[in-house]
Amino acid sequence: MEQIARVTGLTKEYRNKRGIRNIDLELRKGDIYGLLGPNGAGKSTLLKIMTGLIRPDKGTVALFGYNVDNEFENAMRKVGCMIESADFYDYVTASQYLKLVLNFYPEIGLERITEVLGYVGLSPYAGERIRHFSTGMKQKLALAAAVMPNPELVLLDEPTNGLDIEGIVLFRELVKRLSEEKGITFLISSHMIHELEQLCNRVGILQQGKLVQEGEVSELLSGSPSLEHYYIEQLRKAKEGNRDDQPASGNA
Amino acid sequence: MTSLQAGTRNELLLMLYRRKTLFFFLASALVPIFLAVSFNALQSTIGLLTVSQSFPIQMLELYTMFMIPLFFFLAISDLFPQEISSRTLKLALLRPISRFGAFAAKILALGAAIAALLVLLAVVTLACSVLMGSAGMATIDWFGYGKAYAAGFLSMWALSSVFVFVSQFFRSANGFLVFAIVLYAAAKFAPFFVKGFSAFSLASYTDWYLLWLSHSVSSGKLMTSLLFVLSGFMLFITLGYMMFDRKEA
Repeated sequence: MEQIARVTGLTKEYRNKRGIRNIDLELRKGDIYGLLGPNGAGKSTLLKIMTGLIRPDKGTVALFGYNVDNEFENAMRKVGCMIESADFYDYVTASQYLKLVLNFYPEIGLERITEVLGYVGLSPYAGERIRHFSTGMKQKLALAAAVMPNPELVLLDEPTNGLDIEGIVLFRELVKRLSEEKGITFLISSHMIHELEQLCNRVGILQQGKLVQEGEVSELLSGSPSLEHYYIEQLRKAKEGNRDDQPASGNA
Repeated sequence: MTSLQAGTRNELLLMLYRRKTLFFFLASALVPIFLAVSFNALQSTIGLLTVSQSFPIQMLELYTMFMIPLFFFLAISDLFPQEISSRTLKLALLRPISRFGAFAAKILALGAAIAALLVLLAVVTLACSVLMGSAGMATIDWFGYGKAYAAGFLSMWALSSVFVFVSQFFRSANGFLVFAIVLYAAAKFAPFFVKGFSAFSLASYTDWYLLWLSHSVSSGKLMTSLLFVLSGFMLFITLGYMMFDRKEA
């Protein structure tokens, strides 16, 4: 199957010693890949490096065969993303913001704005300034902006944060629809494990900056009643492994 | 190239969407009109005040000294520190545009805004000069005014590059604004205390256009000063970009 993204030996260590270590990851066309992990595991760091927002200490990221570090424009041309919180210029309206996004894609017509606002249920608020939006509405707008350029790869970091139940269902249906109809590849980092179980065909578990487990959801679930059970079990094993790795102290 | 155009257009549109930019442009158009009307009204009592043929140049002095630096302090604070504090820098960086492209787009938009402010000033002051003063359309020194305003633009854009560099150290727009005003005032006063300071300070070039209006300045001196302004611009833009490139959004 066609390779969309390839992450090789990615390492980034912050001053507080957190970060990611030696991550290898591959996304194939049509994948909906869920990235799971506790807070501070390195999910956002991985996504930020994949989109060039921060630079790795080691390793490479290639999107559509282009290296993010030195062929950024080509690498990002078919990518839509929403990284960390949905922050906006709050003095512009939703449609003005989407027009700004559209300026980077001259081949796409203005009618796409109405289309994507319709996808996320924000059409009635197109002319409203973003400063008046709730967190959930901003999240929806960020999602609209991510799918705006007809991307082939969408990277979403905690996309359901701040969404109400209706919004979460809408999000799930949108991802499923875009994946089935347009074959878009998704990489979604989330705490919403049940959402990911319903949506994803592959998942990876990040623990203390390491990708401790990865595979097809169907395979991982063969020995566990749910993805949540499997996830907790993997985290427990990873913690025990870390304890065993630590040198004994005190009684020399 | 398409990405750079899109980035520049976006930065300009964002400037226009900010009410303070429109307010600044409106105020910049009204100040010369207000002064011209005041000069006319006071001319009968204080004979020295008049809207003369050199009104566009007198106003250029006021604008290059105060108004335009204040404008680009505000613009730069929105383009850089404000983007960091409101975490909106990533909105531009996540599009298919390189870091250099995103930085260049901001610098080009800043230059375009300064140029627009100067064009507005030129049009308004010329209109005041013709309608309320002694100048007629036939007597206007178009070439001289053109040179002066072009020199004014270059010196302002070059000076703004210093503050673009300085802004890279700030994460708060207000902190940068206060520091920029103090730094600019210090740079303006420093030549009174430090001998030779003005020869190496871009802040001393706010009245650079006067050199271009003078008939007694050699072309060699003009070229030397032009090269200094351009090299200062390039130096600070390069330093600014080096810091911008290392920023983690």
